[in-house]
Amino acid sequence: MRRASAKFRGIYGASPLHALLGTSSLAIVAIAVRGWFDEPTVSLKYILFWFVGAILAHDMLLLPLYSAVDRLATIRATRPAPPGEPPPRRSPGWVFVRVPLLLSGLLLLVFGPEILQLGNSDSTFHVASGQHQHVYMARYLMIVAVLFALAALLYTLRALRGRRA
Amino acid sequence: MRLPLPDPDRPPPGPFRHSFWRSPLRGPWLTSLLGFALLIAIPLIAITGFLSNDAYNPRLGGNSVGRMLGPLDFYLFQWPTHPSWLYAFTQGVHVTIGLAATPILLAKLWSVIPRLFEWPPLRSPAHALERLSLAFLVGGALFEFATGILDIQYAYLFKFFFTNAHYYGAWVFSAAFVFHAAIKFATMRSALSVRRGLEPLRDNLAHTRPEPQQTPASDLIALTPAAPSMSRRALLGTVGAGSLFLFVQGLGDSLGGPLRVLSLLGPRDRFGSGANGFNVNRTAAAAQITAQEVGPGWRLELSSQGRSMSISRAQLLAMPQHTYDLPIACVEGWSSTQRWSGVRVRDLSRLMGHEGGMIATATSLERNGVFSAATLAENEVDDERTLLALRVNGAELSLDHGFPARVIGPALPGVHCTKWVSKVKFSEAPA
Repeated sequence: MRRASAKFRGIYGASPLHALLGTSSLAIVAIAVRGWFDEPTVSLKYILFWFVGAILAHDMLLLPLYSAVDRLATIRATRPAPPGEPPPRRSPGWVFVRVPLLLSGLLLLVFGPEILQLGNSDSTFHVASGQHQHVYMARYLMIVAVLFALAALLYTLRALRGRRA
Repeated sequence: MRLPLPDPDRPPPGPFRHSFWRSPLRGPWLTSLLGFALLIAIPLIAITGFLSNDAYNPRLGGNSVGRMLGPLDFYLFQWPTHPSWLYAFTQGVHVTIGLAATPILLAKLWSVIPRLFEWPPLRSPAHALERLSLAFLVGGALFEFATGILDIQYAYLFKFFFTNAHYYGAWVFSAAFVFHAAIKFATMRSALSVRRGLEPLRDNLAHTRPEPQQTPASDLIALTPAAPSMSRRALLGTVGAGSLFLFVQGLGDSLGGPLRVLSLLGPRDRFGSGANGFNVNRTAAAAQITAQEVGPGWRLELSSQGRSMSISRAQLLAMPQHTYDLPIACVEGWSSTQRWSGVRVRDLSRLMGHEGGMIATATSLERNGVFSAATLAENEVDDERTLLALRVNGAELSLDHGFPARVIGPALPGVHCTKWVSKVKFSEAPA
């Protein structure tokens, strides 16, 4: 029994339990995708387009984009560490821009549709709720302003403390 | 001629090389901590999502809107009517935790991005299975979060029907998630215990080092790390702050009342004023309700097994009136508790000669509505708090809130609280 299991592991690359769990997981995935075929308005291709598109948009667009912005901003300040030595210290100033920038970006990513009124959402929204979405842009800009003001305040406090020390 | 097979020991240049990835913060500990947070959040979101399916009573009438009820559309149990805030709670958790988990998901995906380019791409059948499943995991996660977040903002940028796509997408995501959690649990536990839980959070920027390399070597830990430009606690603090802010957006919308002001970007504010000043999900104008339809000529048509009866609003008001505080709990996560008065649906069923155990389908005057009719289950009809409401907060219902009469009941999903009711049909519950 043990030998059979070891032989299976040699060919497959993991335990039989792994194989069992993995195939049952894929079976459920297959039945679920089959459920999408039942869509009465025959929009399967749009669903698949969105499913694959979501992966590509994140992995090939969003992540490289925010990494590149970050890299460009830090490139001047970052020198590679000489071998065997700890990386050099640098001014933490960029963090005070980066954190509010990241948070503003996150909020725009999540609430962008209502803030920018994407895809006719305002008329759909108005028909449903009797309200309008124009208030969200102002609120968003206010939140962004508060985030950067807080960061500037913290940076100033830290700089003052550093000068005194 | 030799086939140009990829050499397992010589990755192509660029992201396929370990040395390409230089962030000193990436490593098994960081990924495991984010994974641990998601291991709590995702099951909460998934379970409350599947419970919402249950709350819609998909086995009854036309409640399973847009779905053909295949093998994954099981019905777990009869959705209870106690406590009355049950659906407000489960759906509030679904949307609020879903919003709060978004930055954690994005950070987790950032932490493992080198794995997308791992070399060799396939090592064994087991590895191939894992990577295939990862495509469903990542795709499922992004698809579910994106469609859910777009839905609560009414941004129907997609051309498919939301309910169907989000429901089966949840199955794709959940199935891949369970497999992933099962095979990675031990890795997560050991990564968190090797570095003693939260201890790396003590390091400020000056003390931030790459995670110590392990045997076998982890490809998440940079070979040639850049100098850190931010500590781990600053990174996780940013993720946590984003998560907390989004949590508050969901919480304000879900708890409602005075807390609604906390939800600056939450997609709903109150609508209207006075006794009728609270959210609607469909205005009378959108439903194309005409003044004539709801004027003095309006009648409620009751029917049951071939018999029927027509009642005027004055006759309804002459029946015993009851008042309860009940929430409207929208599937989009917002809730609003109001004081409703009207006739018990149970009393209407007695009027038709039933002693209980019937289901009731309420049909609206509205046009083109996906939920222009909804069927209430036996326990919902028999609950004394399920009303055909005529008044709210001591005033007449406004037209936008469903005048002349609307359904309201304990723990009902919002769209089952049919407005502008014109017919109620009682029938035997399906076996």
